Amino acid sequence: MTTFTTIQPASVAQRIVWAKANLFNTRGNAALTVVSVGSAALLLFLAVRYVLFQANWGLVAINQRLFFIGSYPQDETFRIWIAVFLVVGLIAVTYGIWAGKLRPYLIAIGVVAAIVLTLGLGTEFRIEEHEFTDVIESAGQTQTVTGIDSVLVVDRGWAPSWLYAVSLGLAVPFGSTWVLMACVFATLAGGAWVGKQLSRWRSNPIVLQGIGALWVLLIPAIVLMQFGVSSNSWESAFLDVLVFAVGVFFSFFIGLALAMGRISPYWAIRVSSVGYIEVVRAAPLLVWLLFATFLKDELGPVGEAFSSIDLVYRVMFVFAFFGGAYIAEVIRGGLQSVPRGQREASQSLGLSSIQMYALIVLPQAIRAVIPAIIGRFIALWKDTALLAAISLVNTLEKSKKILSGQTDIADGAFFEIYIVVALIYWVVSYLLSKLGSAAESRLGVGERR
Amino acid sequence: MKEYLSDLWNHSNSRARVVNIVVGLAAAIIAIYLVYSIFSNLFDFRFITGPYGSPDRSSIFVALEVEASDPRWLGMLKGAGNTISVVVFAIALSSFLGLLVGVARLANNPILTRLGKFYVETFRNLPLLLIMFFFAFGVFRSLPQIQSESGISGFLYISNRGLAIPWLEPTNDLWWIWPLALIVAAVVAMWVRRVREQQEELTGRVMRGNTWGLSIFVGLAVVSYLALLLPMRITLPEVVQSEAGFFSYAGGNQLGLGYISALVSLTLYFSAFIAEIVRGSIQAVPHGQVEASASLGFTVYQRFTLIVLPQALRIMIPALNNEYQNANKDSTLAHAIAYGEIVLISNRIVNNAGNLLQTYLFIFVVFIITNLIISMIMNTINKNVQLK
Amino acid sequence: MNRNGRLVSIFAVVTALLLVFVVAACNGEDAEDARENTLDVVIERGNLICGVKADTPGFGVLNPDGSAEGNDADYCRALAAAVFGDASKVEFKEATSANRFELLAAKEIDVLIRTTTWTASRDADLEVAYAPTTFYDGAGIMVHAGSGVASVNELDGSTICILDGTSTQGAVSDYFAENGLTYSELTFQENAAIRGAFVNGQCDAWSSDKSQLGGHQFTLKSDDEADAVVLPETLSKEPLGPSVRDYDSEWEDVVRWVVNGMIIAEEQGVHSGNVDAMAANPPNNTVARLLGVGFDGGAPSNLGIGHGKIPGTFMQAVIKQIGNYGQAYERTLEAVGLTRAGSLNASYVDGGLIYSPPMR
Repeated sequence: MTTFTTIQPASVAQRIVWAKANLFNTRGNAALTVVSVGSAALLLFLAVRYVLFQANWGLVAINQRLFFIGSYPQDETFRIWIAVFLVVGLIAVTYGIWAGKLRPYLIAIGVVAAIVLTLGLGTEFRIEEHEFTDVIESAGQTQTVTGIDSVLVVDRGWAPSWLYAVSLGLAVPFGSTWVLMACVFATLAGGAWVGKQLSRWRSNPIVLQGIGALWVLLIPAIVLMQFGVSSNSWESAFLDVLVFAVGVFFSFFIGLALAMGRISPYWAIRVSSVGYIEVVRAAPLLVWLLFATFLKDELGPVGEAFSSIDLVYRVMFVFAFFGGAYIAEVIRGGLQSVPRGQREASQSLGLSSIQMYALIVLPQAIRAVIPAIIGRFIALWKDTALLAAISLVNTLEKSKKILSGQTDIADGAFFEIYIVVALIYWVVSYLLSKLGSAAESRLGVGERR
Repeated sequence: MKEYLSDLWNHSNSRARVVNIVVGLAAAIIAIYLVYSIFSNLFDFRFITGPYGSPDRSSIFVALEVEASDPRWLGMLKGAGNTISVVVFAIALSSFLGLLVGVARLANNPILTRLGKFYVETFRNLPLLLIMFFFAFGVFRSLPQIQSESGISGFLYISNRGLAIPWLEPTNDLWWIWPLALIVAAVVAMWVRRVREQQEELTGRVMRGNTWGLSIFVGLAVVSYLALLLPMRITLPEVVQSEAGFFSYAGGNQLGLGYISALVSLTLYFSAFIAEIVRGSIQAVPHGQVEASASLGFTVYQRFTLIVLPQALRIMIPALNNEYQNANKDSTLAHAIAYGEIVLISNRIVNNAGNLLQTYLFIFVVFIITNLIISMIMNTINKNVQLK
Repeated sequence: MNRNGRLVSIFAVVTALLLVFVVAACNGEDAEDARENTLDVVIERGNLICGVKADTPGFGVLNPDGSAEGNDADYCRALAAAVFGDASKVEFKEATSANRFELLAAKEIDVLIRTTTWTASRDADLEVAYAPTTFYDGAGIMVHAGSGVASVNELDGSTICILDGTSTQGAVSDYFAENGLTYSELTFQENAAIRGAFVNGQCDAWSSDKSQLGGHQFTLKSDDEADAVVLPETLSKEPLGPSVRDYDSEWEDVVRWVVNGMIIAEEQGVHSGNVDAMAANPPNNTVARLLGVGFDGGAPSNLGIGHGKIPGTFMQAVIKQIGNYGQAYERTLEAVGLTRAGSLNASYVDGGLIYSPPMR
């Protein structure tokens, strides 16, 4: 189809010319422009009005801890902070090595840090309680009750209320969290600087493999660090991330094994791989999750042993094996895209079949489907919301608990709470999808097809 | 012995045999174990004749409402029917919306394309369950109350109890023959149209296949409607107040909040994915096709409907097939907002009677069958649009 | 070859990690006997996992920090006090009306104390065993105060919110059918969802056990959002009590006699304030047996509850830390306006139904 000019026009005259050419060139297009500008303006107006003037973000700010880590034991939060620093540090170093310019990145971090670290200064939350007396009628009897009416009062410090509202009250670190948040920003900046110094060796395979190995080892490291804490206190966004991380890690290797199984020269392996993939994909994830939750001794001793494992581990198991079946199909597509000549050439060079796949075929196959694999990971991330349907307390379930548990102050605050929950899920999947499209353009997948 | 083993392994023929036997045996043992434990439990099917226990009225069809006295097997079938009745409409609506948004993303207007992108990025990156909760417990709950009678008076009402719309109501006991007659009429009409079009291609005479098909369908529909003594009529919804002062909807059909929330959420979520498929497929149509049709004097609309869309359709059908099956499977999430689809109904049975494996096997079979049907339909369409 | 070796080592690392996960996940959970003894499991684990309600004031409210309050939660704590001598060794898990029996059967929880009605079909079909009733209840209906309704019989044509999968559904449907009334039902999975629906006028009435309606009426009032009235009719019999899995009699005995012990303590005037003095110097044989001490210098009698796995003095810990039946009731249920005097839940000496078999 036709495309429009994307180069930004400079002068006013040029702008008018550009607008005439792209927005008002035909009568139909002019109408479209008017309608879309109108609806966009209406949306924007409603959103701004809600965020700045109608919503009470103080409620989100005082529940921050519940949104991110739920009722994780206070004394053990260092485990989560270590994980945060590992992830943030690795992201920063990776970014520093492969990204182009450091300066805009550092400026952006500086600005965000300045806002986040000062926004909470002088901010105070109080729950004001007013006693009241009332007469209620119950089963024909009247009785006098006294109760307490609670109102959340937010005293803001220096920050203008619009800045506070724009950050949805999420960017307000308290107490010791303030110091740790400062360290997180320092790590983001420092890591990128270190990465920049390393970037001169970025074509060296040792750097590439080292960073790759760190990324692969990161997930088990984070998970193993949690074994000091009962899995019942894994909650909220932390639980989602944990289940997602384990799901990503294992589903990739399970998917790889299944994809290789599908093209195995041995028919027994082929048949079992295909059978597994088709059976798992036939039913919805929710059904597998409910099945794993409710299974007791129906499948004999195996089911019994499985049901005695903590529910969270069972769910991780389901995520890994369910995700694996889908990843297998993606990798199979990649394997089919590798030209036959590659195999023939490596065979004629005398490579064994393990060498052929490990060195020639799989690198090309996986490279071709990295965007699709990231797409599957996004789906896996969004699927962690389903934990709410099997009574595990993830971010979504926690938000319901906040609404029902804090009726004194949270009654009617549905949209504030849910917008923040939506934002938590949305940001992660959006960033992953950006990573996917970056990988797509960097690897040139699109052009090579 | 050692030499024998290494020979066995190094000789490719015998190695294949060893691997096949070992893996095959292992797989067979696992499969037999599963089947055995399933059947040792499954053998007892007495529970399915017991009463379902509690009524469920979230269905949009009166025939699919579960009564407390229904046997459990009927409850499960009705649950499957409820799943299908939300999936079919969700697929239709999300395809339509997805087509609009996908085309908007490629429009000649930078503001419209950006709006389209905003839409897609918003809904594609949110979990479906969250969207459902958002509508069921937030948006629809804050709608006006029933007594405000908001909507189009006498035709359509919306409140936080649901949506009341005009509907068809059976007037005699043989009404169910009429929908069947309509299906037969459609098949006959399509056959006639095809035969006439083939003749037109062969002989070059104008045979008017479309006109013939349409008139045969309408004719048969009217004739069967009269022959069955007017089996159905339209009823309009109204807001009524009982003697005790309670408001409720009467007439028409009341779509419960569970159903509407599920339908709206599935539609918004999947339309974002379908929009991306539409965009990708249209972009994949070679640009020369558009230029050629423009030089032949086709209008923009003709260019799109006659040249671009048919070619894009060929590319998008396999991806759409996949997305439709996902929509079918993801409709199970509606059980969390109390819509009586198959998982909700089955979970209640598991809760009342146990029998996890039998009940879940049924869910499994339902999804295999419905996905197969979607696949078959899409493959048939695919065959028809591919170059012959 | 070098590269090949690296590949092998990567696979070895991955396999080892997989093993670590599996071992960690299965940690100490060897294949167990199908009919395991929950008492042994609880003692070995070192805490009790109790399924409670999360959102019903007076019975069970689960706090954000994982603690719980309410009458049901108090019985959980009493059990922990009996088994471990420490009422805090209990972990609360939310059980919804739809998944409670599955949680119990799947051994996610050791005991279900969640306003669960004792019915024949649950006892038989679901293989659940019931400890004594801790609260005698009945289904009732609550309406908005402004509606002017004074009796259930005036609810013809109304929309009623009910929790999904509860015995209330059957009670309402029976009552309305018997009285020739019509209604439409709107079900939800949680009380919190019903609360929102009721407040927003999605339903005209809210049906549940009367005791719980009382609790909800109380919170609705204190928010000053909507006044509500509980109608006088009682639609059904709903005896509520703790439940455990069938074929687990040692554990069932512990649960049963902790509840009975609390009832006996009230009858005998033993409460958390005087339990130490009573144990040092029991006034009669009944109190001595209840507290597991000897009467008048005699040897303590062995009742055999828990077969020696829990101390014979377990009721001392329970009464010291939780109190007797009346104290628990007063602390949790009176606080939300459920008057005990004159109700079915008064002690049998006051004309109620709370009565325990003798402990001897």
